[in-house]
Amino acid sequence: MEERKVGSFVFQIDLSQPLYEQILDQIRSSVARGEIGLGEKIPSVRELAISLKVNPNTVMRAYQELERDGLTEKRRGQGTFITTSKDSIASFKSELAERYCLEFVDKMKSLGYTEKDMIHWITHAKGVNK
Amino acid sequence: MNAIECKGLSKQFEKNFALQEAEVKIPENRIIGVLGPNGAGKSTFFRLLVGQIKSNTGEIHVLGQKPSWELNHQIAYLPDRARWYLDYSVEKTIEYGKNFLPGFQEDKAYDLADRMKLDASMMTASMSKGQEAKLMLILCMAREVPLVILDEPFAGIDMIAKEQIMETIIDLASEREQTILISTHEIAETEGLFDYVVFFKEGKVILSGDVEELRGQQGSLQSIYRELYR
Amino acid sequence: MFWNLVKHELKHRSSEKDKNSSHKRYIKYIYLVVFLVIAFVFITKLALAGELDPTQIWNVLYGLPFALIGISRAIIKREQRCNTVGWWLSLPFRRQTLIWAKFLAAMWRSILTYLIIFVLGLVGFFYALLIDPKLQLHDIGNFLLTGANVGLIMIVIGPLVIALGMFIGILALTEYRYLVSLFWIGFWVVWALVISSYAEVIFHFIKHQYAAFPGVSFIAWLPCWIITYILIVFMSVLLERKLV
Repeated sequence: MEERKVGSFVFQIDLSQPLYEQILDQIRSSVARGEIGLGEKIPSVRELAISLKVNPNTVMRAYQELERDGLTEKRRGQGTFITTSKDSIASFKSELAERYCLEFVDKMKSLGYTEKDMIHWITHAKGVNK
Repeated sequence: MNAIECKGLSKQFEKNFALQEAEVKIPENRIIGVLGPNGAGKSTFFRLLVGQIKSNTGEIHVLGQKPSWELNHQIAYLPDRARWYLDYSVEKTIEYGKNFLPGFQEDKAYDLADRMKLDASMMTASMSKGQEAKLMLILCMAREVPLVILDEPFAGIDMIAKEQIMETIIDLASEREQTILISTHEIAETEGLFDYVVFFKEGKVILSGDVEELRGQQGSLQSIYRELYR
Repeated sequence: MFWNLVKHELKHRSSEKDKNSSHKRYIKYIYLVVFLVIAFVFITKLALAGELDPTQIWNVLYGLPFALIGISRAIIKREQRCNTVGWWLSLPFRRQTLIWAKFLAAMWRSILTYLIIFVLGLVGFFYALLIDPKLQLHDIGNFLLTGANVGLIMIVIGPLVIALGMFIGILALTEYRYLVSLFWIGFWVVWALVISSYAEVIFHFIKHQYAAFPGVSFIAWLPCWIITYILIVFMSVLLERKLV
């Protein structure tokens, strides 16, 4: 897997997984972690597609999803920007956190763990506190 | 809508079947990878689409019509193992495009030549294989037509030229509604380009579909290819 | 559009695929020089002996049909040899238009070849005039008319020869390509028969019948051109349906 830097983003593209999800997830995490500033311009679909050597429709799909998330805004004639609203990002971040938690909880439940077990796992699992 | 639809398509050369009862459906406005080993029928399929040869049996619909010389007004085609006229310069080649190829955009062609570092006065005879491939790509990609067919545009050229060609294709595909068919052997390097694939084997289509879906189900195109042809 | 196509056919002539084999081009010139030297020696020898009939110079023109068939076959074969045939056949033109453009280009080149030979012949005549005591300047009238007569014969059969050459080239692109050598042999046999049976008639025609040209040649002219047309239609059908 090769790292490619595009604007403020660093992408790692794995051709054995859907590319759309990877582009989406990696932009989402950079925004959530604050690696890219509020209101900052992001590469156009064309720029990103060219630098990743990826189909433009695939990039477009990821961008549409980001806009639906409220993480980006299109400004006519200027391109796509990260939202200027801290609240949008915060609420998106908590939404995402909730979704990940639910996934985790579902999986743990399927193994037969209780809530208390889960907390134990979170605090004591190998590597969590490193 | 489908850009291309073929039913029961067969083509026989002397005693060998190049295509045998092939069923092909290709959606429009995508970049389609046409994959398979040599002799699987890819080039024959392309030549049938542009009416260069006639099928023995079966139906072909390209952009809703039967192939003909008239339909070639709407198709940009890079022929199989094509070379360019040796005593043509880049400038003369662009003039050729303007004179003979409907939808050819001179400005775009010069722009592409500039970006791919082809000097207007350069002669084909003095070009490397990669430069010649880029020039031929310009003849196809500078055309505003609904269908582009590139038969092995990456064959036998250096890595830099390959990347420039890929970038040009992506660049133009992101500004236009165009169906682009590309056959290639260089799957590892080019698979990101495609959003739809058709796999040919022994004159038949054995697998086709949306690349992202296939990746989700079976992994990279390269590994699918390995499984299909091993 | 069509004339641009003819122009294109005239332009890409020297497309030697292998850049290293450019010595092939020199070979052409070497042949030419050898030929000119032989012609020079021949004329000098005969003229000095006072035995030169200058119209014999035009015998060179008997080679013209061979040049023509070479030119016209090459105009098709070149596309195949240079791997440009795919570009040619995917041009958005009717097959017949593609063939006509090549045909006209071959015609143009044939006329040029004829004119060059004509000028060379004239040079030969003036050279002979200098060294042959018997030759007079007023012999030039007869000389020119004889040369022009051969030209007129070329107008009658030239198109047919060109179409035949192209036909051989086209045949090689189709599923009947195995017939090419058969066709060649046939061509040579027919040509040999024509020459051996009609040499007298042709020669007589060239030397004496120029005044009667329009009337006499019309009988030959029309069928030749009709067959040429039929061949062109046939070639376009081959291209349309029988390519491999």
